[in-house]
Amino acid sequence: MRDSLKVAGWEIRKMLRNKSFLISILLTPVIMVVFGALPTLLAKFETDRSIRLYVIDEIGVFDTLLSSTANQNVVLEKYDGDVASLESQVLGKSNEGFLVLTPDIYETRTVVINMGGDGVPNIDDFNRNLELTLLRSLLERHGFDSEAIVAATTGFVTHTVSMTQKGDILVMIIPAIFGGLIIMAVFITGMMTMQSAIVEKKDRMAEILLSSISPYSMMQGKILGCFVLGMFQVLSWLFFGIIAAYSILKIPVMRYLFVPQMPIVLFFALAGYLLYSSILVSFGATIEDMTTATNFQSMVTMIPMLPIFFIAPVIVNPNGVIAKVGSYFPLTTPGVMLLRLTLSTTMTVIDILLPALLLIFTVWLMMRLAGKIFKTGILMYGKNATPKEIWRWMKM
Amino acid sequence: MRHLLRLEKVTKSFGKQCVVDNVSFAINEGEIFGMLGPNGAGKSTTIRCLMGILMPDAGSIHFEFAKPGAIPRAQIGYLPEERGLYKNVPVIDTILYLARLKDYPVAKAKARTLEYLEKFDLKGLERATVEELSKGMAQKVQFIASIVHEPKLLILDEPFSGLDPVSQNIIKEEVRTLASKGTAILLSAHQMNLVEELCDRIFLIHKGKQVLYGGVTEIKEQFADYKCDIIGTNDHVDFSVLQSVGRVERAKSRTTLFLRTSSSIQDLLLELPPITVIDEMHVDRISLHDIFVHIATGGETDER
Repeated sequence: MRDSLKVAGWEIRKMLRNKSFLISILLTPVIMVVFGALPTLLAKFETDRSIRLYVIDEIGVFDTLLSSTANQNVVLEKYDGDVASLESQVLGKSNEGFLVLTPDIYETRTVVINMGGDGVPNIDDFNRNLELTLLRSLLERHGFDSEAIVAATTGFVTHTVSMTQKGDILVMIIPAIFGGLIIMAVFITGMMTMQSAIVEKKDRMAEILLSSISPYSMMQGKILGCFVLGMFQVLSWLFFGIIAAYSILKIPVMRYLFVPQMPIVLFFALAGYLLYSSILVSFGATIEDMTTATNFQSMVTMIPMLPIFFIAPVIVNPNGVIAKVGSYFPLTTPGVMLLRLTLSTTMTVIDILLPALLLIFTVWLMMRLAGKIFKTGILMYGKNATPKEIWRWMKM
Repeated sequence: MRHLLRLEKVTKSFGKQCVVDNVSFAINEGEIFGMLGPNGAGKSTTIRCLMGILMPDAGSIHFEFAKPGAIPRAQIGYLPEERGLYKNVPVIDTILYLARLKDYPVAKAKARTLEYLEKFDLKGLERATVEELSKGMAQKVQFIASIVHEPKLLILDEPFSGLDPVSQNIIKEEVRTLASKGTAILLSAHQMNLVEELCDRIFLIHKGKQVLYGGVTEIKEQFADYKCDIIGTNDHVDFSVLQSVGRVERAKSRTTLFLRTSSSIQDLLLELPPITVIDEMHVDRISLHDIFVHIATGGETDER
């Protein structure tokens, strides 16, 4: 264990002195926020622009329409001329358009809004108002009184709620975000262990290191070192996240993190890290250079992404067949269980215990196999290992 | 002189291929021991076995300064043939990390590193990365990393390859100094002149099997044959009919006559035909290089 700690210490020191690693810790949340918010901000910029619409009204709804669109990005203007002159007036102007309301529309049930330039602006609110105004106008023509019209055209709202998931939604969402952060860190640090093995092989350091320590210590040290780095990343993000959530959204995140299921969430996250990192570090030892990795090796590196396939069905039904299959398939157990733990309130002790035991056994088995692959692969120079060779090493 | 390391009947196979077959030798304290053999002979596998990087299938490896069966990694220095240093890490950080792995005090390792860097004309380059160093400089750094923790046994696999003559001399001198202080040195090299110059005893391995083992002088006496180089145009002379000559090699104007074991220089001189053109003549015992080539290309073996 002493040797593993020395290797872990080296991995940590090496990375903490690496400027690009430190910058990436700070930049990753910024990049995520920018990528998440920028498209919406840019779209909003376009959505917020004011659109002038000319209306040729032959059915007498203009005033009603004008009053109902007072606070929208559409400016309405009544036009008394003919359609041809209006067409020539707005043509080429992307912020202007027109619509013609004739009695025919009660038959065709279609209104076309003609825009003068390229593109179709987002005027959904105006469209809804127009549809409602026309519907009310139609009912009026059929002799309904105004009270009945308002009553008939006011819609109903439907909600689907879970009887078992009542109360503060943040109780579920915040541990889920934390779990997601851990999964992300597991993937990033798992890749880090793989990169570390590849670099040591590429820099021809492996044999020198193995003259001082055993391959198992070397592998364990890498896994441990990268784990600490991964946790450092998560805690850094969490630190900024907690400050941002508290100062901007006034959410006391810490209160939601210390919930009863958090130790179980952490167990599955850590076991997942051990599983994925042992797979990735051992396969890193079989790769001469990432650019020459075979399809088989590239596929193995994608294993930590497998739980992504289960996200949608588990959200729909966290106790369904697919969620249960995902819980008992060891390579997806960590991710699926993290999701289920945060989404389901009806999981039994057995539902948690059996996947946990299966995961512990798989981690133990994978560590043994990874050790066998690592100790032979790391000393192989000049070529990538073939699946046949890797299989032979595992049987040794 | 006591044995520091003893290998007995070590065998290692990969699949059906036996790479090291029943190999035994011992290395003494303060001795420079040469391990020779053509490429693929089993040298690196033998070294990896005695380092504990590979486990032998049969046989035993015993270190004088360790418990039976244990491999005292902290007491061994190793410069592998596949040279390596972290590309983007200052050299002193790499050396200190390796010293730390050997349980050597870091402060002492740092002082020794700076001392050696100065000795090897690398003063002031401790914070440089490998990318900033020439190949020769990097090799010196790797050599320092293998000796900084004062090992009792130093294993050098091809330490001179790629080094210029000046750097070769620096490393040679250091190897001699370490041996004089008691470090046992296992040297694997292809430059036979350097092996002959440095080593006390040698071990020749070929196709995984022990071929020669003993003192350099003893072995040369065992292969005590002479060779005679004649410089001159002698295409018209058939030297192979001479009774004292066992083998003839020709290269342009140089003709090399390998004498039979029973023949002397005088025998050859008396036999040389008068038509022989002699611009220059060199007589010498055959070198380790000749013995190596002779055996590696399928000559006789002598397992003792």
